[in-house]
Amino acid sequence: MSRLRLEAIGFSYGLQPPVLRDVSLAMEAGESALVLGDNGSGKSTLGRLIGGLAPATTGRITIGDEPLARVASRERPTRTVYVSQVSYLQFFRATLAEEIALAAKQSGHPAPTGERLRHFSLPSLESNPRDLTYPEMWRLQLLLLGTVFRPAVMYIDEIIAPGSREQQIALEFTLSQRRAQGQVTMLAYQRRIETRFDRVFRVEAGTVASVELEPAAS
Amino acid sequence: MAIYVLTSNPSAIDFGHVNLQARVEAWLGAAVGLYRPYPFVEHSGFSETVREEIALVLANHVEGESPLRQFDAFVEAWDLALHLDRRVLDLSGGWRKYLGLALFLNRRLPGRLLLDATSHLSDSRIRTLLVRAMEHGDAVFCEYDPQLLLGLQADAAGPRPPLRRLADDGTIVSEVPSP
Repeated sequence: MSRLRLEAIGFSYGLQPPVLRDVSLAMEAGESALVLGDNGSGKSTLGRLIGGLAPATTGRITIGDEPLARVASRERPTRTVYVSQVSYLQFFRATLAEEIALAAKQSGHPAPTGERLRHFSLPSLESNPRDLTYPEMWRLQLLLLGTVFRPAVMYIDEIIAPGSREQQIALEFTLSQRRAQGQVTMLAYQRRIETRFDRVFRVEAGTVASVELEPAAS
Repeated sequence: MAIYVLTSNPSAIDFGHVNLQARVEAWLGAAVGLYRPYPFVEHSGFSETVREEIALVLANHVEGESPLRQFDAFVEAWDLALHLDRRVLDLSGGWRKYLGLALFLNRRLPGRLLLDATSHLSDSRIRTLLVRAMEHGDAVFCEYDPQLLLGLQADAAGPRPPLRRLADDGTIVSEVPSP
């Protein structure tokens, strides 16, 4: 049984033409995917559907053997999370230490320390999350959701500064942890990045297709 | 008219933009207009559709910063025709940011400093941005990931405009010689 399955998904905003049409895909436990697409292609919409933030107009999404539509909203974050582009809106506490402790408490998983934290190149744990740079906020979000909260499925809507070594280390560490724990991770972006993914999908003209990429030129 | 890619400390983009702007102005010897992204709120809030938003902004440029293009030419130059009747808030995050950038670059300014302009934009949007930035005054792009801009390839529509490099050490901006 696939960890994440989309069957004939369609979605429209109100009465507008469909943004996504007849989208079907399946991800196995531990797999990662890069979701490529131009601006306005539907990457964020796909993520919002997979994250359970909007119901598909047609079709069905299943996580494990459970239809997403039947998961109670309070249970949903343990199953699937959509990491939005405006991650700074999702911090609640005055310090990084408190923010990490909150995520650990909510998830029931231990707060990361030492070596695990170092992969995320964050400033002092006494810093205010709102004083982080945008790339640092992205890494904090990855730490909190990807390795502390650990939802079965995580859809990350874009990466900030993918060329930076700090971002690559944080992303690769998160993918390795989630792969080992059997969790599915998807990252949407406009272009290829250096990090390797098990699968690549391309969103175009309302459809999502699995694609094979040529090796990147070095 | 030149385009510069400025490498600086990322915290200057988020928290030190006032001083960074002063250093860029000192280097250029001219005042610059500043673009800062307000993540995905690239919208005046006084209009509903893209068509209304463009018309509103064009009608309200301050004296001395008259629009470089009026409505029809603006829409064509920025490839916005397909989106004119959509609500601004219904645009994708990338297209909403691009609309804000297009309206900013349409101001008749002697120079511009653009902070984090290219994140969330596809390569084709970025190419249009660079081509339009070449048209009037100098433009300085300061990005979290300057290599993304410097590594942008030419496409069928034409070559990528030449990019010159600047470095900011926190006290002064200086040009980096081409390799």
